Amino acid sequence: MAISIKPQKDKKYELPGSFNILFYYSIIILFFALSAYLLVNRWNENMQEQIQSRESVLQRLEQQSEFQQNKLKVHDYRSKVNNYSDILSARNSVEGFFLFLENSIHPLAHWQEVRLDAEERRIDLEGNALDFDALEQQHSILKNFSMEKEFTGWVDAEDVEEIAEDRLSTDGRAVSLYNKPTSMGREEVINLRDAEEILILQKISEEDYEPQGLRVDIDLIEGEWYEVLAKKDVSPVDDIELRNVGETDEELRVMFELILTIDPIIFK
Amino acid sequence: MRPIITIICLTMAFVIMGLFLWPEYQDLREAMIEAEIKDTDWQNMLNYSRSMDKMIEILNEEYEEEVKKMDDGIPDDHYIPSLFSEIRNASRASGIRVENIGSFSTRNHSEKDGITEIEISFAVRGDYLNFKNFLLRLENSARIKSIRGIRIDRIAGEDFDTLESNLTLITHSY
Repeated sequence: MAISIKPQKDKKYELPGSFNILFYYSIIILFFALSAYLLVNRWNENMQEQIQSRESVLQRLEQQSEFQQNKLKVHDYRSKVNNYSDILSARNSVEGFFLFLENSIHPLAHWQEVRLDAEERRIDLEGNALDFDALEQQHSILKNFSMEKEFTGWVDAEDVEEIAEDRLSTDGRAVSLYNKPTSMGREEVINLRDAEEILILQKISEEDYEPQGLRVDIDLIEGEWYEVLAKKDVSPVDDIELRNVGETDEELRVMFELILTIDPIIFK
Repeated sequence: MRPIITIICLTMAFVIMGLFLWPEYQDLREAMIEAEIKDTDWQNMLNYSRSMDKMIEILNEEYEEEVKKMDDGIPDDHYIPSLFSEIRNASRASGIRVENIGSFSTRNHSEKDGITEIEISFAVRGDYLNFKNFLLRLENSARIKSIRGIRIDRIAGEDFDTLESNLTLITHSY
């Protein structure tokens, strides 16, 4: 039996079909990765240029003399409003002092010398009374003296408890400011808890009282506000001290000296 | 050959994505946020500039009187002689006599930079009602004045309502 020996043909190693797909995909992925990188890089450069140009425009605008002048003017107005408002609200008005003096003296007593020290919140009253009973009554009148004061201010709508016609009631407080409910200027808080009546002057919401453009540098307190006129009884005398009591030589009247510590509200 | 090329391509693709594309993308995102901020700054700056123009226009045209009132309330200089003149005029108009006018002292405001506090003291003589009117007249004048101290004496031997008073007033200037 003859055996033929034929060299066997090399079997060609063939890749599976899925590997071919992977090969093409790998090329596509590489291509996309490269393109995406170049695209993002270009985009990034454009963005940086845009930022640079915005920065230079902003700087140019800021350095413009007109812009700087306007900024100074607004700053100047703002500090003027602030100063005026603060100094006006801290001013001691004499009207309340005279009202107090005219209405707190007993008919059978009269003052001879009055010294007011607004800084020390003190009134020294020297005078004489018809007798000791009149002096006692005078002391009592001063101790219990109250005067009606009117305040205008702004009440936050959130603090309003009830509204009836043109009046409101609140357990909160009113913020008295020179002009509008802004955070600028000195804030003087008035307790309206015991107010006799609180009359609504106007209701105002942020957009109502904000003239176009006036928002600049003025920090409006956001929310709805009521401008109110409140009437409240206040006691201007915090403390009272009686000194130098004695009978005068003439007509047997009783002389006295009263030292009153007063509430600054008397000057408002 | 193909498997080697596939491996090289995939490796390169991942290297590009991981080492270059991703950081570049992060930079882009940051740049986009920064550009947005700059755009907002730009818009705000424009609005601010327009608002300032508008505000100045409003203040100059619609609030001219208020601005003048503020300027008169706290003038830009002491103007002491005109202050004394104002007191004299108020005393004449109220029918009281002013004495010892002329002394004053100035000092910087304790809370407000650039504001000077001027303290003036003088004596007046007259009846109670005129004295009261005089003070109210001074108080209602353009320049803000505040009472610091009053001493009122009834003059013995004269009409019951005749008073002698020493006054200390405070006023301000820039």
